[in-house]
Amino acid sequence: MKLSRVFAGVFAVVLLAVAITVYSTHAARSSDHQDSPTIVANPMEDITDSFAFPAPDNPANVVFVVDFCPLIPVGCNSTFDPNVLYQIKLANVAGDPKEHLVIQMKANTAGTNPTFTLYGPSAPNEQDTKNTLVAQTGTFNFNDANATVGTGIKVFVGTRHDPFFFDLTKFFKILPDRNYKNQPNPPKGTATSFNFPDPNANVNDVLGNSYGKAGALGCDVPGSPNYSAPSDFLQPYNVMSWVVSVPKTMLVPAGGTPGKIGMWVTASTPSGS
Amino acid sequence: MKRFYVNAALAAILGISIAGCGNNDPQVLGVPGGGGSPPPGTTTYIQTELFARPAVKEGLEMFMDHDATNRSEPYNDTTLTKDIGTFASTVAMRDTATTAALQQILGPDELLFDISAPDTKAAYLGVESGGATGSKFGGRALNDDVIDLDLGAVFGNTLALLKVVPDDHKESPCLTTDNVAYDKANTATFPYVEPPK
Repeated sequence: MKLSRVFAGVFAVVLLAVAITVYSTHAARSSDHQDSPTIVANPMEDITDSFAFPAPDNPANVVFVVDFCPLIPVGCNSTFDPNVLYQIKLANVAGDPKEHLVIQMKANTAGTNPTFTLYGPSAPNEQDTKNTLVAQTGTFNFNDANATVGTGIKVFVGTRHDPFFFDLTKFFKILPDRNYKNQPNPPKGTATSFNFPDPNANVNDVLGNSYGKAGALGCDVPGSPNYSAPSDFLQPYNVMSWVVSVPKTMLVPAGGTPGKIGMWVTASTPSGS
Repeated sequence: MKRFYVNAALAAILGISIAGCGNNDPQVLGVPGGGGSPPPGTTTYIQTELFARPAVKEGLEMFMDHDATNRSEPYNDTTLTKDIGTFASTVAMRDTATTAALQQILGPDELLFDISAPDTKAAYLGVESGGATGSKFGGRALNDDVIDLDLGAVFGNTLALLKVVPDDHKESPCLTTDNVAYDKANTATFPYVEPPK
């Protein structure tokens, strides 16, 4: 959110200060919430997550999800900024980590209920961190789950339940320097274990390997000084989700064959702030 | 938290790199099938934020370095790779081989998926693991326990189980899972992400 771009004068400065205070009071950086001073000051640029999966109801399409504007309603206030450009960058040429395909999206006006424009998927004008818009594919409304643009592309921007899940509270006790609120002089950690509710349960790797029982390993279990029940910090919060479903055929490199694709997502502004 | 079983030999995990391009200078491209060269006066947008693999930059990179990574292309970013090495060797206390493997697997920081794979579901690190995490499509599903997968690689013996490196016996089991399971309700129809609370 960049209220200073919307309102002028002292009123805007006061509002911005209040917004930043409220936002920063609810510090979180789980998947990628609030990870630099620039982003903390401009939560509409704060990309918290991205996903890529085959469409559950149409495996011929790939679905991209880009989440931004974290911790709604106590954090980001959902006021869109038409100066923020969101991009999905795709390295779809074998052996080359650079982007050869981009999908771009931006709000057309400020406010809480704007229209949006989707650009691409298309070859980028630049392989760089400074970008211009590619060809427009279509426009769509806020929170419209039935929007289609171009040929076979579904697109959505709207408020959704944050899909990320993580015991962030305990993580910050283990590594408090990862919390931006503790910068630049973070305290030392006060825990060396996540919370394990059953001391007799095996601690298993995601691949199925067991390290032993939580209590015997010295993990934080009920009765330990640092124990509290594991909890998902993000459970109460929403985010803004940009979802776009694209036919796989549009992701194949020109003259190439379907294969592995590297993906990253970005937010950009004309001022770079 | 999901449990998966190793079902593939994974020498490929160190061969994932889509790196290798020698010229990393910014380029203005011709635009086959795309936007065309921007006309004079067209707005230029400057990158302020970047996201690729979940919790890699945020968990493994020094906070003070995030802004540099946010303003880089992943294939030009040496800061994140350096910080992954520092974290693995000094915080997670892994040996040299495991540290180097983590740096190579996670760099460049791009989320990999494979549209030639027949799988109809995604699984985080599926491309890198040859499907051992549940799907050769890779990518990331809404309900993937990416935290436990990342924690297992950094603090557990996931890489040794995948035969990427010998077991360095420096695991920290109490840091290999946060014991939080997926607790959202994504939908089977577009836009798939659970409606707001």
